[in-house]
Amino acid sequence: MTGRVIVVTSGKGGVGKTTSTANIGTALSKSGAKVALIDTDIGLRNLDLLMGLENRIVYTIVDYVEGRCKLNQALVKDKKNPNLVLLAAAQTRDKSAVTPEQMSEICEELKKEFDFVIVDSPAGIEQGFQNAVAGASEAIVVTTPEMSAVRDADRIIGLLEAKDEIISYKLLLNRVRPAMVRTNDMMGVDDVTDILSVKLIGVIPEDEGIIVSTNKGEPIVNNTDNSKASIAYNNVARRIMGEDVPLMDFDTQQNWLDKIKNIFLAPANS
Amino acid sequence: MKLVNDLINEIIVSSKRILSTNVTATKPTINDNSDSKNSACNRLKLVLMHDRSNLSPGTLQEMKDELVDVIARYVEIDRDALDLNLESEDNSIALIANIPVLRAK
Repeated sequence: MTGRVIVVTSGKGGVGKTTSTANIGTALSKSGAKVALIDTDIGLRNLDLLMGLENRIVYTIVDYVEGRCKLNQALVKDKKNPNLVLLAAAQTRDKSAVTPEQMSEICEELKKEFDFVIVDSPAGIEQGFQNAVAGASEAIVVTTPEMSAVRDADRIIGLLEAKDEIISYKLLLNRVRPAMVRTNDMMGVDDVTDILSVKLIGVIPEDEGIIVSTNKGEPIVNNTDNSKASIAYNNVARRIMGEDVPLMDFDTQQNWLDKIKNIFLAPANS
Repeated sequence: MKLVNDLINEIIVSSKRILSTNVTATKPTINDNSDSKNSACNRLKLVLMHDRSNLSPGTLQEMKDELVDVIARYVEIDRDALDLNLESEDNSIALIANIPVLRAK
């Protein structure tokens, strides 16, 4: 078996790389795929927190490259899904603890056993980014509809284009506020894709549920309440697996209360 | 006029940029508070063109000054009204110059 190695990157920090990695990885594993997540943010690890696995980390990626453990000893199993594992970053070291060659070797090794290897990249364009990209053949560039995030995404796209190993890259537009887009106070999906001239893998609306799920250490796609962000992340996973899923129409997304209101108000409005 | 064109071409070759003269120089409006999205889009497009071309505003200004000096040798131009900007056309970046000529020397 040869799995796909996908790096999640952005340039700018705080746009949702780790949240997206956790949710896309979890969504893929829920559909039955075997998934390995790698946190490459050595020194500033957080993927373990978002997955709720912070108390289960024994060995990290640095322990493996320095020969203190075998690779599968460093893979922490997810609480719920046995198909999902995490290779955590070391917290007490820095980005130079792992080389791009070692990263490639780890990805090669994991590809044999997993359908998907999702690599969470640190912010920036320095060594941490170079490491994260080293073993990947696909990339997801995360950005928000803010100028600084879009500018940094453009820079990252330029760097990805220069890498022969990266066969394809797509954009994940995160934290979109449909109400602000409607009033022309936020760049919309078309604005951002036009400016960056890049294909979309998904659009995630701003959702307070993300904060709650992070607090609990439970990716939002595990929730049963089908929040907008949860549906959007599940859609991204389906698109990665080759399904043709149309973009969510946020304008018509309503909760059940609004729907009932509309049924009663419809005759009066028309 | 032919001479002027030749000289301009020389500068283009040396700077490896595309030059075309255009009367419609679009300037981003950044004062319109009611539509902040458009100002974000326009500002971004401009800054990304500088980023992608590796041409800083300073270098652009330098090029502008040199270009003006050459043209001014042949025709009288309005230096203050001169406009030189990077613009993207499809997948390429173009250097758009709007140079109002007052009269031939």
